[in-house]
Amino acid sequence: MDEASLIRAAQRGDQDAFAVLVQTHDQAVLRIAMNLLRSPEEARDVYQDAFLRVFRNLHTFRFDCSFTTWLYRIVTNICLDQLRKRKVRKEEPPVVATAEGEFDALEAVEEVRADNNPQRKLLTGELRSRIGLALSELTPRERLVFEMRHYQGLRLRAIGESLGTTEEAAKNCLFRATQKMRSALGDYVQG
Amino acid sequence: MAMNLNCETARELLELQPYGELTFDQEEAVDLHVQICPACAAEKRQIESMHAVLDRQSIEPSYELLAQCRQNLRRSVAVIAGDDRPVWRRWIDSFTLSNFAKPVFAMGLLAAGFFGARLMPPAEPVAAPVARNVRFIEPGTNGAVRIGYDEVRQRSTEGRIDDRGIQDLLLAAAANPDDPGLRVDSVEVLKSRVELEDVRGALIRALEADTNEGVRLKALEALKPYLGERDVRAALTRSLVADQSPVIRTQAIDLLVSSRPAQQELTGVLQDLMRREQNAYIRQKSQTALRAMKASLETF
Repeated sequence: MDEASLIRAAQRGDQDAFAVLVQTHDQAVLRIAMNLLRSPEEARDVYQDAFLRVFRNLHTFRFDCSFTTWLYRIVTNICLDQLRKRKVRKEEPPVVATAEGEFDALEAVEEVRADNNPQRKLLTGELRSRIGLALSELTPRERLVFEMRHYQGLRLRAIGESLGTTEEAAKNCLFRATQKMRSALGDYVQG
Repeated sequence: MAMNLNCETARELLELQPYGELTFDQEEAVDLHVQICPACAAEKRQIESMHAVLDRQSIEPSYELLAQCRQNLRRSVAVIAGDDRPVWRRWIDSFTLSNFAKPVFAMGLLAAGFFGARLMPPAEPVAAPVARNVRFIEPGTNGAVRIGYDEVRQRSTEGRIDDRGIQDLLLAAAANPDDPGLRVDSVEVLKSRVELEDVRGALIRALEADTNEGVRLKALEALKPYLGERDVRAALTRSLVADQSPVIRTQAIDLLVSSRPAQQELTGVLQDLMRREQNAYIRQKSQTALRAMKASLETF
């Protein structure tokens, strides 16, 4: 069944069709949330919130844009809210206090690659903290555009559509974000 | 015709170039400018270096987290839809029976249950909760208290590996950090579906990141038939370089040197192994492969 038929079936209340729709897109949604918020708990909340909004509002979807654009509009709004709340709370990169002392919550995130070299591991840890800090210095919109272009590989046009803005505005946002990242990463990105 | 650029414009375009967002003419103009302007060439290298650094820091959510999210969502959707009935119940309820037929149908079901119970082995009772995790506590008035908690119950399910639900459970089990036995079992079952991208991804992660050598070996075995895929070869190459187990490294080199596309990508890695590999068999394999490729045994 193609995506349009799945959407129509889900609009008629077919929960199995809705489940297939979710499974087609949910890995990408979780990846966006995870990379943006760098917290499994918050990513889980974004996932839940986003797909429940989709479920409740699917009947309003009129096919005047792609389903992906519509979904990403929902996801980006939730993530933006989350990032703005963090900015208001002036959160630093996630440092969690435990009984054993403080640790960087990013360290708890599963690494894609195992690395047994202690020196490289230390450097990776430092770098990761620096990247976390650099990302936290971006405005929520810059961060979102940067994330969606850099890590999700979405075209600027699609990002603009998701954020309800123009491709040009998304491009300017990306430009500012990459410049800030480069300046914040300093020594790690020597020419 | 290519445009002439000043440094300011070139640097704006350089920032967007890695994202493939420039037009053909802009791309041409930037490349020409970089060839004659050392400062912008350095800028370009810095941008490329930043991309390399950031690419290594991408976080891939675990399958365990994904499975958990899906499960929570399924539950919430069922509650919102006001339909948390099991599938069999929904199926029966979909029949509209007349008031007369309802008691007859109920009697039929009762009889079927009565005789069925004598023919079938006793059903496994739903297990009692095995763990409770308190999420919030809200003291109320008159000594009452409201507590929110997650409850974990053990259940079992059956299905074919083609079923998405079964696959999700297997993928979650393959990433279970507490039970290597479960991970081995899961990889064993998943290996019959390596053609699926999700499954191959999980096996590659197991090969590269699992702390248990047995699981890594199982994953390597499962990936063997897919040596033609670039992601599988790349994972094997990383294992050859980084895995602590000589058994895994030996298997990895045997597979890689037997694959023609891999051989062409391997020269640098093999030369590096000649310099620092402790295992004589692997060094000898590297030497043989490099000679067969007519490549130098050393980097320089």
